Amino acid sequence: MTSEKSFFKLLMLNIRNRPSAVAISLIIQFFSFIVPAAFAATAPGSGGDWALTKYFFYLNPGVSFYLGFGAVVAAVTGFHFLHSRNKTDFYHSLPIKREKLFLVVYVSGALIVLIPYYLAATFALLIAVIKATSAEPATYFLMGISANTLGFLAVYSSCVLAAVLTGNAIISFIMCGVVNFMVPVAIAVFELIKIRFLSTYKGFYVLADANDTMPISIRLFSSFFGYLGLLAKIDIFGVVVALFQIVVFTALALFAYKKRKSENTGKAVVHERTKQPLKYVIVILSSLLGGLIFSGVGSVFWTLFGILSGAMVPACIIESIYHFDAKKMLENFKGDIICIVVAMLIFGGLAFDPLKVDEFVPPASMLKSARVDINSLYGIHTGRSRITLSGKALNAVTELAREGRDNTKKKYELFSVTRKNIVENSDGEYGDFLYLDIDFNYILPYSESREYSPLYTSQVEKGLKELFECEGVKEELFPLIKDDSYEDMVASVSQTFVNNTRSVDNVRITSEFLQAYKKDVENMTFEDLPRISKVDEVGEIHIDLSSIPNLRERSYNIANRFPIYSSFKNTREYLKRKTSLDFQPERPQAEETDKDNLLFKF
Amino acid sequence: MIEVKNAVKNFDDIVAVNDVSVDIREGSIFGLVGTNGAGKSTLLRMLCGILKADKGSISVDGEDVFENPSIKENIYYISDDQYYIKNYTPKDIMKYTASFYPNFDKERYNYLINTFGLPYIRKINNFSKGMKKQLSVILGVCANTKYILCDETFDGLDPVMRQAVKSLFANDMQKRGLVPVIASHNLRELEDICDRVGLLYKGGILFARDLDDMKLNMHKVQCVLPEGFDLAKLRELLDVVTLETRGKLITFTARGSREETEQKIASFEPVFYELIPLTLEEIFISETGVRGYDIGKIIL
Repeated sequence: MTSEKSFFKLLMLNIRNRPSAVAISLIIQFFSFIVPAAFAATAPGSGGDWALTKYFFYLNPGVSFYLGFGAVVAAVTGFHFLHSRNKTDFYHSLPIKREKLFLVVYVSGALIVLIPYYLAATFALLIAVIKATSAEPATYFLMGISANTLGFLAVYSSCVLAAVLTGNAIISFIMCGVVNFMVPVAIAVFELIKIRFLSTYKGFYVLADANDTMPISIRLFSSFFGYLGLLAKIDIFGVVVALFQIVVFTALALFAYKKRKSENTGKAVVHERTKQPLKYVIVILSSLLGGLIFSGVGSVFWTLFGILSGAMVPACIIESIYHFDAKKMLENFKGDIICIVVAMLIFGGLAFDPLKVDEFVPPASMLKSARVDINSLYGIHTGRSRITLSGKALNAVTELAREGRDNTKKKYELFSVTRKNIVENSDGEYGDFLYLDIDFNYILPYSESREYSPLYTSQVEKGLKELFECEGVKEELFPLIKDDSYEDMVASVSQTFVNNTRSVDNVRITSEFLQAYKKDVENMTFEDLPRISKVDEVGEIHIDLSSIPNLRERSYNIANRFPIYSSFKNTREYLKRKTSLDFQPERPQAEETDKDNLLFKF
Repeated sequence: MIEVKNAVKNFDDIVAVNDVSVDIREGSIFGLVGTNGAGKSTLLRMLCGILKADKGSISVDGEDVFENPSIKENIYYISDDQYYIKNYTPKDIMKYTASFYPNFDKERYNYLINTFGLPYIRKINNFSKGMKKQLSVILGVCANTKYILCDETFDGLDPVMRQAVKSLFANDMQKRGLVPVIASHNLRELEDICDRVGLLYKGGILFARDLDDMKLNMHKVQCVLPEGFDLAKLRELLDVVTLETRGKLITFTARGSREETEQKIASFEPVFYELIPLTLEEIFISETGVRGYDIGKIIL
């Protein structure tokens, strides 16, 4: 008979039981979505701007916040009956399988948030379509609906798991944070300790490219960060991660619900077996964080103090919460001691680096590609010193890394926070220091970032030269030579002077200019590269891409500033003819650099 | 029939139900009595499938009740602190309950709501405690389940309503074989309505017997025995449960049939003796007293 009970009917009844949630959801949607969309659409001059449409369907932070917050509230309020004995008794005495009850509450909670969102989005779409001149609104509508639905469901599923694991509403809110932020915090703590104590190590990325904004491990184990990642970039990877989280968190929540004993209602954590492991993980992480913070004072004593206090304070709080009795804060003291010992071992293992992680330079055969950020090669003011290399250039990259490693001075003593970026030489002046950052993208789905600094150019001369002479490097450094899409553009040309003043003129970029520039780059040798010195040695062409239709997105990725070095004779000749600027061919004399006069760059 | 076999339920370190075995037969009203914390509510929650026994088994009509919706459709549980969904009216709760209990009698529900004088479209949360209790009984009766489990349901009902509820149960027992299981402290109430009683004490069941048998097998005797009579002899010959002396007057309760008890007292050649019928409350106090729950230590 029970199987004949309509799921849909029970679903409708459950939604009906939560009228205040439905009302709040509708009101928030109205003000965070429909009202701004209507304002934007009716504002003067906004009719053709479909970036605005994109904003409302996809990147609207109000909507994302509403969905994220709604996920937490819908999950905790939906399963709130598990936090009260008489409610639990009522629902569990009904002739319905727990799986079915779970699914009814789960789906109704999701619909309470999603249906108002869909309604609001559809209404906003109508506003957009009325003003539309193309099909773009529909595309962004579908993208926004898909991304936000997946992201919402992932966060919602994790919060349902949190609600089912706990027997108290307030604790379930805390548990939502634990479920969503445990892994990111763990990764951050581990990374921060390594970055503090290791000279070259800057971070790692699992399964993802170092260019991504966050490691996939964080996105994978935190539905909150997974949602953020999906909003930043809708791709198949983000979709797969969201689907994975929805399935895994929902399955775990259902399993936890089935295993949940009704009599444990009211307890902080209802599954006895999860209590201590959960506490241990939190205590160990907190202990490591305490050690990290107090190691900043600069002594072993304070670091140990940080580890101990970082462990004991949360351990006591958690035990007090578990028992709802502060007198039982030391109930599991042996476990606390074990946590402290484990935290010390982990901390020591990361800080003293017994595995020599700090000195590791991968052989080229292990790498798929590498990204090099090196100010000497290109000049810090161009904003484009990061180049991606593969193939034979990888040998040169690893050679460069080895030279960098061998010459990097270990400035950062253990338990010391005297680390600072050295941007001055011993005389307090800018010198030809290098900040050599390399991202190693391994053949395995893993990448890591290394930093070798401070270095003198002479210390990595061999590697730099080898790298510069590799095929394809010049194209990476000077993208203008492989792209002719800027022909017949008006560009600004500037000269930079020693006192940071600039002289600017406009020039029309033609094929003649591009030919001259390309020739100069091809003829250029490693020795022609300028070294960073007190006087900038480069001129630059600045091309404003913002006026190019449909290139707004590309403008974030394509360099729009191109250097002109002193060896670029053909380019300089062309500019002399076409502009009012009088580019001097020669490098200024040393004594002139000390004067506060206007100095040409060549 | 509800069969409980060696059921054990622990709440952390507390043994709430300890090796309880009891049969609840059809055609009777089963009363569950016990001291505070004896495990009455826990046993009821186990009987309706809210809690799962740690050990032992609980079966209803031959099937395990836990996570068994087809069996639970035959059981309606009325909690001592019944939950009503926020903003629900009696009309709403009827629809909700009817969606789970396929034999729910809506016409009878409407009739009873009117008869009991309950407002049909007022929010239940604004009802008094007694009105909520009445509503829960009406829901339970109209759900048309075979078993109705009531936890302290009569508390909060006025005498008239108590009588009305009793007659409702009696009517349904007669018409459709309803089996009410009632847990209560109010032994006088149970005495009036129950045919069979289970006495729980510290999680374990002391006995489960027909009320009539129980009354016939335990007697309270007031007597004056001859000068110098040795009370040890009394204890030796009779199964004395409690004994109290006030001057020459001896009051005791003893197990055994009326004839047997009278015969043995007569053999003591008493100056005077009288058999007084025991109330359920006195049986309860006597039995629990034997197990160390001495009411005299509590009532000072």
